[in-house]
Amino acid sequence: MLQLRTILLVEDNPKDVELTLEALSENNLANMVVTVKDGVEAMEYLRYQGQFKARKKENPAVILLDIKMPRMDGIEVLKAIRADEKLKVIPVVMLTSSREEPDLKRSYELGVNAYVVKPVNFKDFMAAVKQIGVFWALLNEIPPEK
Amino acid sequence: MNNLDKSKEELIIELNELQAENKSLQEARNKDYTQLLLKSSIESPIDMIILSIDLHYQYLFFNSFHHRIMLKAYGKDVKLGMNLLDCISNVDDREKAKKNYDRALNGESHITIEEYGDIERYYYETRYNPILNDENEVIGATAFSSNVTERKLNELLSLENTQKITSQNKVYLQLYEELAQTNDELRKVKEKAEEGEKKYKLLYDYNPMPMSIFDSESLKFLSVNEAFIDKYGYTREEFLNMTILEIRPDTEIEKLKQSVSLVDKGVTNAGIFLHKKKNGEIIKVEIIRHELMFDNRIAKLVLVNDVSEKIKAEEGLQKSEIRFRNFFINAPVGVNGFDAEGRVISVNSVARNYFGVSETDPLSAYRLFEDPSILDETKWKIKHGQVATEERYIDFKAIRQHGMYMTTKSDQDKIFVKLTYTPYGADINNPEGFIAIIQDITDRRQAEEALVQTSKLLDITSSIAKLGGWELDLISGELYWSKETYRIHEVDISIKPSVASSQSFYAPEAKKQLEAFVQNAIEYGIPWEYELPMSTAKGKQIWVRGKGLCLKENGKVIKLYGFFQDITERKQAEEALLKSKLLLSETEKIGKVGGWEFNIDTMEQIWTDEVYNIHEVELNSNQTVDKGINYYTNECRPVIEKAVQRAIEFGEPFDLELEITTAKGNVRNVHTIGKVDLANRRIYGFFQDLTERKLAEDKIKVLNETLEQKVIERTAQLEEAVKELEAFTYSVSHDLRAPLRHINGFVDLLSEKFQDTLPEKGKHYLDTIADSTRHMGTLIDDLLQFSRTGRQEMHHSKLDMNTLFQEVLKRIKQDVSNRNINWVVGHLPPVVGDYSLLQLVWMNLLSNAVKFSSRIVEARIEIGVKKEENEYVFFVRDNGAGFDMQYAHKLFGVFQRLHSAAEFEGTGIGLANVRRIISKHGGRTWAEAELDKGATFYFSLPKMEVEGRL
Repeated sequence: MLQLRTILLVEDNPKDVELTLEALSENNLANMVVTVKDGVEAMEYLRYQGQFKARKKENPAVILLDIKMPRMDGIEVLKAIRADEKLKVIPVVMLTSSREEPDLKRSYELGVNAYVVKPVNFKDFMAAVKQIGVFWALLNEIPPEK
Repeated sequence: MNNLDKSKEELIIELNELQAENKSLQEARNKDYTQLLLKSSIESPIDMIILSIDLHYQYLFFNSFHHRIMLKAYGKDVKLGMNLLDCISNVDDREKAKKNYDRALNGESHITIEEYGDIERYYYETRYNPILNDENEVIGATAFSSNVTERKLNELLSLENTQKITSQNKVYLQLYEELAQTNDELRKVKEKAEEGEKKYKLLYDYNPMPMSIFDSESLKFLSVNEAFIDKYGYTREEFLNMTILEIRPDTEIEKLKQSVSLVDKGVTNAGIFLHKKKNGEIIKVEIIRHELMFDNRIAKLVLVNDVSEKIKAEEGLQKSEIRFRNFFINAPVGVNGFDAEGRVISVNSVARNYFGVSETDPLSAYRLFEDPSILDETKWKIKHGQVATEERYIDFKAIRQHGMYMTTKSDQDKIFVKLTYTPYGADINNPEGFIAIIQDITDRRQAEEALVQTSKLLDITSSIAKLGGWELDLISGELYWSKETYRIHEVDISIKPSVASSQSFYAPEAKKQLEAFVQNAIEYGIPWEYELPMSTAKGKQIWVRGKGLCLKENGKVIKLYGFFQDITERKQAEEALLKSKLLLSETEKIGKVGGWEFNIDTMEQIWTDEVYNIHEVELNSNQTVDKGINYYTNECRPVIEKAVQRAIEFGEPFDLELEITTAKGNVRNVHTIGKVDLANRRIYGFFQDLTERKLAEDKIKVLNETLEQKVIERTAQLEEAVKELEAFTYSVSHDLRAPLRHINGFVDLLSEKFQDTLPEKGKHYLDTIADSTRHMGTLIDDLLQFSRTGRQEMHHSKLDMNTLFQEVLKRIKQDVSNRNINWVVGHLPPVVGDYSLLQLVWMNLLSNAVKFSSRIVEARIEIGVKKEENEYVFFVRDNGAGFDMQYAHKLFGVFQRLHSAAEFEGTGIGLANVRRIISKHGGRTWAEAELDKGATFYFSLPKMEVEGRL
């Protein structure tokens, strides 16, 4: 039996969280999603700190990362993950409203695995999130943790 | 005159050279020592009588000793041409002599010892020789005779003593004393003989001429003198083992043998021979010899005279004479020689023609000078190193008639000649005569005279120079004006001028000046010169220049004369020059530029006015180069000194900006430029006061600096603004899209999940909300696109416009696949530009065309290009709704729309974006349209740039 791993959704806007979860639920992936509301919480989760001290020692299958967030933004989180020996293998998908090139360029320089502009149209958004969830959470094999 | 290419001066020079050569050659010839030597040996202290007679016993020659002896012995003062026998007063002696000479005259050489003399008697040993001519005929006889009395007496005494001893033994002792006495005398004789030998040595051994004595038979040298040794290079010992053959080249041996085989009759000039010295050098010698007895052998005394030089000299002389003759005879000018008294002694053919004399005519009848004083003058001139020449008419007809040169005044048969005299003879101060070169200069003279006589020509000449003349005879008071002087005064030539009237042309002050001049000239003989304005008889104002000179006679001024010139034009030019100088100095002042110049050698310096001004020194005050350099400040002085030094030494120009301290202590920035003109030994340049310019420059510098600061500030502000704009755009992009997405998302969820429970009206509301959010999304996206276009960097490359266009067209066609559109696409040229941006242009324009033709059943969209001179004009033409041209200016503005949303959807950003992109490519955008008849949108791209990059 395939052991399902979590999907870490880093998103400050609850409306986007709800819509994303709606989209993932269509593929029964919603249960696997852990949601944190900014970069700081995301790092605590990944490093088993703060409220995530006691959680099971396991990296998420994929991190869906919003760029624009308070405290620590998506780019900073990506940078921290890629600099961390234990975390750098986790696939990161940028989810963003922005079509601005500097973000895109910066993200790829930091080793993002995918970059998705959230479409205004909900149907398109649903399609995108579904694909991301299925591909990264279910199909993609990642190297074993050290 | 035929060949007169050679000027007369050249001919004279040549002639003089020939003369000098001639003279030196003559001197060389005089150095013929032969005669001298012969004479000295004949007048020798050996006391040898030498004489020769002809067949009639008449003296041909005798030496002084013979003369003396004859006087002593017979009291006869002999002279050449006398009969020798007649001179011998003693009959016995005459008989003896006749007998001996007759033998010689019969061809026999013989020696006798006989007693001669009337008053005193002596024994003479005499050798008689015949004199032979070339045909070996006897033409006379020679006698060489020495006084041998003492020797003879000695012999006789010895004989007598022997007799006495043998026959008269008794008286032997008695006679002993006598004998002793005689012996004493004998010793004396011997001593005398030795003395003679010494004398001989003096003549022979130390004679400067090479002499030798050789055996007539064996040809062996018996004796040689020092000069002989010197001449040939052998030692005396060597010579005494040699024969005379050994000092001859082989070729001469035969000739020599023949020569010595002849019997010499007295002193014989054997002729010229070639001799060979020890070092092999061949010399040409003249041999003088005579036979004598030497050590009881018949020998020959030879005197050698080296004639190599003499022969050379003679040959040279000969050549020179030939040259001289050639010159004399063939000279293309007349040449005649005449003696010191002016008698003609030779003429060449040209001169002969002048004189009209034939070659056989005697010349001495002709004289060169009709006036003897001319001859004296010529001599005087030559003596004082002057070229004696004269030019005069000679009437050769008169010469022919009268045998004398005659000056003539008639035009008939005269020629004008130039005579150039040159003396000849060894002593230039006392010449033997003269050579005159006669040159016919009639043509020249006639031309000169013609010129002098053609007063018209002179007038023209003087009028060209505007030079008039005048003359005032102080005795008669008459004033003469030349034509030009009349012309200058504009006075009719018939009016006679006077001193008073001539001064009336001047203004009172000038008049006074003139009067003073004339006064001084008359009283003190002072010449004068002036430049004054005057008004002519016709009232014309002119400037004149005058010059006056005085003619004195017996210390008194009798005549004033001078010239008179119209210098108005020159004055005008000078004034113009002055004006232009003023202008220059004004220009200098305005430009604060001056000029300077100095002479490298004299270090004299010239400054223009402005240079003085810049230095703040008085105009034209004395400013030397050193002083000028001292105005430079301490830092600048070495720089200018070095520059000036290098300019002088190497001709290097300089261009410097330096500082000076003016005479008034102001520091000024100056620009000095120096150039070198080494040919004229001067350095010149200009000098500029930069102080004001420098101040202005400083101001500009400050302004520039503040400007830069301002630019930096502005740039910072702009950068800030751009950042803000970027942040704003980012916010729009991110923050505006998010709520829109949420609305959209939840509306979607609502209409899907509650489809069954929602009433129709509720569904309609939800559709409207979804529509609005979609429109807002498009607006935001277009706005973002527009803002990005402005900021986006351009990536220029050469593009195939056709491919680029077809990609866009493909996308558009997909969107409107349900429509029936007639696309007309022309071939598009390649361009240079940004690929994605130009695609956006086509996208916008095609979208519009599609959109606004949507209500047309048969839509037609045409795409093409017009090739202009410098650009391509692309266009998109549709047959759709079009628009009213009065609103065309609004077309390309942001959010500007000419149609309502109900008619045609749109955000009003597309065309604004097109314009922005095309502008960034250096092109233009515009549109033409008519309402309901379609629209054409144009954009241009520069062709030049396109081609440049292809």
